[in-house]
Amino acid sequence: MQTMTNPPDQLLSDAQKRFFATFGYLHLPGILADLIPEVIAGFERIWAAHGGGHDGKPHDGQARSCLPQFLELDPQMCMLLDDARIRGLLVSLLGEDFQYMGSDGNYYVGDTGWHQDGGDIGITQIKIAFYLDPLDAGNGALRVIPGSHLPGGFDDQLKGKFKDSVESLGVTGSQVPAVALATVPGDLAVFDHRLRHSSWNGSKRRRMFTMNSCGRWPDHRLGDLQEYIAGGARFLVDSAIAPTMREVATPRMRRHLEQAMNNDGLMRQRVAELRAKGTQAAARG
Amino acid sequence: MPNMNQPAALPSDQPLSEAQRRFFTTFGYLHLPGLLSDVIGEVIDGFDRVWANRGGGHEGKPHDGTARSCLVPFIDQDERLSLLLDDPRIHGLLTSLLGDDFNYMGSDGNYYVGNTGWHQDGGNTGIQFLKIAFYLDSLDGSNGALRVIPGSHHPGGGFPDALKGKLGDPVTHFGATGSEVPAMVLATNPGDLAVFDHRIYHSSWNGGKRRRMFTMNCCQRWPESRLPELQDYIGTHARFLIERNVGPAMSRVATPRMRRHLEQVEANDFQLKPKVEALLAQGKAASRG
Repeated sequence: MQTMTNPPDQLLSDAQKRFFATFGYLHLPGILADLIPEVIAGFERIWAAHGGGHDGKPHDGQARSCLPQFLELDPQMCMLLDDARIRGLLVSLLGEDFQYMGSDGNYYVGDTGWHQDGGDIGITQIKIAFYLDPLDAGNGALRVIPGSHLPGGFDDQLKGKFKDSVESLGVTGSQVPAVALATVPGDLAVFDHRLRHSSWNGSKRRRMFTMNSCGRWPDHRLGDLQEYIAGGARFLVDSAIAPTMREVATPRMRRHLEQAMNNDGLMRQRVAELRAKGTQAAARG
Repeated sequence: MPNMNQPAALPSDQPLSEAQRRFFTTFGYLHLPGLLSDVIGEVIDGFDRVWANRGGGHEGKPHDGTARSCLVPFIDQDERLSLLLDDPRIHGLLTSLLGDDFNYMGSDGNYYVGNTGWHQDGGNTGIQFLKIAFYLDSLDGSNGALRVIPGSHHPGGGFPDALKGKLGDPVTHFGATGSEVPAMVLATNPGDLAVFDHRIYHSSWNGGKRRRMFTMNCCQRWPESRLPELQDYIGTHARFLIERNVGPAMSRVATPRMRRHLEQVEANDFQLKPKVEALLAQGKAASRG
């Protein structure tokens, strides 16, 4: 995770970009295999420094533990944003001026039903998912419905069907037609926030963290960006970009933090309102 | 075992559930495991009998495993197989998806060889078409099972538009081989049915040299105002060198209920004869698909 010499960005091929645009995801096997021991050590270090589970209490396997601004809490993990492979894929999919929108670290428990992480806002938003245990369809691997991120007939048909897939489609959640991405630590799964995804048959301590990024917002839509960032108030954080990330960011990284750092005032206001109402626990996701 | 030669005492249709219909509409296909398992022995006998009566392979020559053998129409050549159209399970799924007045549009019997690349069987005509596929060998992803791209059949949407023109060369366009394209593999056993919208992208990979499969194709009834299009559509079947779209055994054994599903096609297949005569005059052989 040392980036002193900044090797050139490892860009995606045109074919990979088309695959992502068409199917809504990419699976990049082994792309960070050389770093994975360091990454796992960082993951464990952050959780250990934060009580081992949700809200500072040890993870008990009953419900998901979620820690927002995850990699921002550790100087070494922050530098993933400057890794030539991660930068390369973000630049390839979102442009040179992509914006980092935060991360979360998780111990997942059991199933995660079908959902999208976002809707059509006219700005491409993506999630990079780091799964730190070997996973397949039998123990909680990410499943995606290819093409379900694109507006149109298929997307329209899927709307509202996953609240109760047995009732609406005659199949359980794990029987919904999808691709299960079998991953080993060191792989990356990257997907469009609009893509329907889920996981099934997971254990009680499935380790995973994410990085969320998006294209740069045009100036005339900064109000929308402020609202979007304010959605993170449920995590009770004081700024969109945590102090450690701000401290260690190189000039190149700062370009990707700039819009979040400058547009989180509304979020701070909402956090203050939540705290005034007595909200003490951060959301689990 | 039910006798397919005795349609008089047919039980009532077995319609699809609302959820199955929504699944088909949403994803473009249905896999119905074991739906015909009680008659599969008879069905396989019928399949073998039709091929035996037609030389064992394409154009009356034994199947040699180097290219697909295709016979059109297929079930229409055999009285027992023709009566599949009246089977309450098949009739039920067809009326569920296409309405009580659906049209039977023909069938094909095949010995497939190797891979079948990504393709659609038809485009957006405003008339719902579907194919019922009978796979007569146990198949999975490693030996030629049907693969479908769920949702790729929907018109006017981002996903099919994004796929257009790319699946013919998925390595160039997506960096993925045909078998690596994201899809559902329908692992099937004889007795299962796979039903899919003609517009869905489908393929199969890693198949053997003698993969037994036959289909039934059906569609909604065409409105009177669009009969010329139906005539043109049926006319494209001239490539199989058939002068009537409905085969002789089918016409012979059709019950009154079956006739309702043959009537529109039988009345509108008159382009076939002159087109076939023209093709024969050019020395053309029957198409393999």
